[in-house]
Amino acid sequence: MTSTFHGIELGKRGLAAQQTALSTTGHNIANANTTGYTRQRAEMIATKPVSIPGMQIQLGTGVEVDKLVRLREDYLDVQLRGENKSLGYWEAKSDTLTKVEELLNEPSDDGLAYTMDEFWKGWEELSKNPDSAAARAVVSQKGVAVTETLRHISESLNQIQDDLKLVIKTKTDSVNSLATQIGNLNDQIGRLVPNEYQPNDLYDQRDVLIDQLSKLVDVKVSPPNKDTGVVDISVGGVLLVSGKTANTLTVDTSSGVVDPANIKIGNTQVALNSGELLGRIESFGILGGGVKSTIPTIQEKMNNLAMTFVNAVNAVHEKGMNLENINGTSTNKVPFFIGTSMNDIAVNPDILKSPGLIAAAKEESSGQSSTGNGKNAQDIANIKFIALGFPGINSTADDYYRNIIGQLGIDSQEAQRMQSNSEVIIQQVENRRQSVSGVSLDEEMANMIKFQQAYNASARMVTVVDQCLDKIINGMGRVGL
Amino acid sequence: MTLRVTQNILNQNLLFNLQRTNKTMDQLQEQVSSGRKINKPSDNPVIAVRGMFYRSSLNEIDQYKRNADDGLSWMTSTDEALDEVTSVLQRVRELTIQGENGTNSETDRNAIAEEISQLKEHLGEISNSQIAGKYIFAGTDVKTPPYSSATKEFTNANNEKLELVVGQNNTVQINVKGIDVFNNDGTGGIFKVLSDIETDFRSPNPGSTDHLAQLDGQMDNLLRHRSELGARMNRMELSISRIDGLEVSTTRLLSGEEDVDMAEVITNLKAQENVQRAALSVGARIIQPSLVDFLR
Repeated sequence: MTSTFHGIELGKRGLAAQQTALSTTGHNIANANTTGYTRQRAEMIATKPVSIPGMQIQLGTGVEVDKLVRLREDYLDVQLRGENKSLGYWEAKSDTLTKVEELLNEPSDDGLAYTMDEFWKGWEELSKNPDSAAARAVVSQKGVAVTETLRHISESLNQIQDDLKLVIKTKTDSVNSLATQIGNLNDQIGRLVPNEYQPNDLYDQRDVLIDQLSKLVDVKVSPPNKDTGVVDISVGGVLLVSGKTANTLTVDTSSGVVDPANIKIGNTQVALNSGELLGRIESFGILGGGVKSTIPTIQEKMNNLAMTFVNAVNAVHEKGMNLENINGTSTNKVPFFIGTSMNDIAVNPDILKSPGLIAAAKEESSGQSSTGNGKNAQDIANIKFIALGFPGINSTADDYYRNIIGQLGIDSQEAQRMQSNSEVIIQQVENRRQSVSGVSLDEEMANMIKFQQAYNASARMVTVVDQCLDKIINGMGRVGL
Repeated sequence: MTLRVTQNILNQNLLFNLQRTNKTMDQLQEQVSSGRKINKPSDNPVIAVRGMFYRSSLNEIDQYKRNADDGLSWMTSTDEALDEVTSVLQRVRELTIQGENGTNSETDRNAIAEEISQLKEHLGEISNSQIAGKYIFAGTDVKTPPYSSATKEFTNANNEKLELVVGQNNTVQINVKGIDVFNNDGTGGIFKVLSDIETDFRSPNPGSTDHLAQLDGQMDNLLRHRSELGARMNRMELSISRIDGLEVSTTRLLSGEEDVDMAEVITNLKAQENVQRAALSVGARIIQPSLVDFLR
């Protein structure tokens, strides 16, 4: 025989289990829009049956909630995080490259190419009218326009680089802050799991933080410790989070370009291979980075362009004769441009003061020329078509600049394409993850009805047993009353 | 495993797709408003670089055109001046023939000498012809009058060419050197010949110099330079028509590279708008209903 109150106990268990399931449903609905929330399910199992002595049967004793399962697929996390780091990397790259594109503003009617064309045209006009003070003023002003454009480009590139320095600092701080938070969660989880608790919501919070971290750096997450639920996180093979301890990532930008030896976690050098932080560092400049160093490469090329151009113009200019030489008031020859780099080039202030110092004429006989001689101006205008000795390549200034723009376009296009590909992949993986872990209100509503009905039925079960007992207690053994 | 689709997935996908269509719309709208296929090198690096090249070429062509026009007006003025010189020499030749006729009285010869003297002064003025404040027969010494009205001599000895660029590796000389026309023999040229004739006619005993032969020599020399100038003007005109052709074809190339086909872009924009509209109306439908709405 079973206990008299077996049925009530069974009904009560049913009520409790269905109520827990209803609570879980409520928790799911409440968190339907919580970032990183993983839906939970109350997993019910039949409680241990009792054997009835003398009979070969076991009688069921009802139900209990065994655990609250977190519905999540680890593989999708790995996939998403792997793609997240690429997205972060390419986002950072395309951001910088797009800024440089906007800065150089080509092809257009007001970029450097146009300014240089105008400069050459100025010399051509001067070669026709070397006696004209107006043509001289025009040439010097067009020269000013070229140097101003180059200096503006130089300053803006420096500005972008300064900004990147700040961004690298902020992103490094983010990495460290995330590491600390993950360490704290590890600590909390590590205190709950050994006591048989299931800190599902803490797991969710930790996963969200790891997702965020995975966009910044390439993370590798160890499988959770069976006994404590704690995970370790390493970046480039070096432990960033070890249990509850978070190490510190440092990037030294003080020397202008980042030395890979100065990217460290704790005291260990770490080789980043992807992620937004690396994208920013490569944009800013990294030693031995070659083509990866976006801004320094552009700076170097633009500086080559500026200085080769300036030197070529000066070389021809100083061969010519200015008005003072022609009039015999002076034998001095002056350079047209002054300056040693793209940062400080300018038209010679003496020329701006007295445009007569522009050497438009060529010698007609030794030390002699005429005001109407514009042959040197023509020679300067012709520099446009002459291959100049750029480092590593002989080409015209125009060609060299077009090359810079072409390469920039290709790099930027690649970064944008990779970024958009990563976005699509992430969207797909995120969909799959949502498909496993996301809350469906329809589903929860259906479950709610299901659990509600089961709850009602369990209550009815208690009522039925109660009525049975009433029969026994109040209706039995009262024959003749 | 069938894919479980939740409200959030629907919402996220809707947002993602709206973002994408918005981005395409933005690109198309930029193309319509700027009229250009590309606005950044990364839109299409090949077109960008080619566009830059053609733009630069158009700038060169613009300059060549201005050079050629300036050169042609310079040469036309020179030709007009030389035409006048020819007329003067022809008149002098008539007067010389008339003067060498033995029937002339001393008064007649003086009158002829006087006219020749006037013509010589006129020739001096012609040799000082200017265009835009520059002496055209002065070589590169364009600010100093080549003919000195004080000494009545052509004093300029500048032997420089004035050249203009009218194409890559294509320069045309635009000036006729005054020294070649007015001072061609190194002893005074035209002015010397005219002075000799004048002096001779004023003298009671005319010399035996063959004035006509000297005049013809000058005339030949002048014609030689005029025909050379004519040939150069022809070349300049050819260059101008070639530059015009080049301008048209380069503009077409640039336009072909950079300009949008408006009909195409607007059609695409319209199509994209429809996609956008459809996505939005579908979105309005999928966001609303859930089981919640029906369980009352």
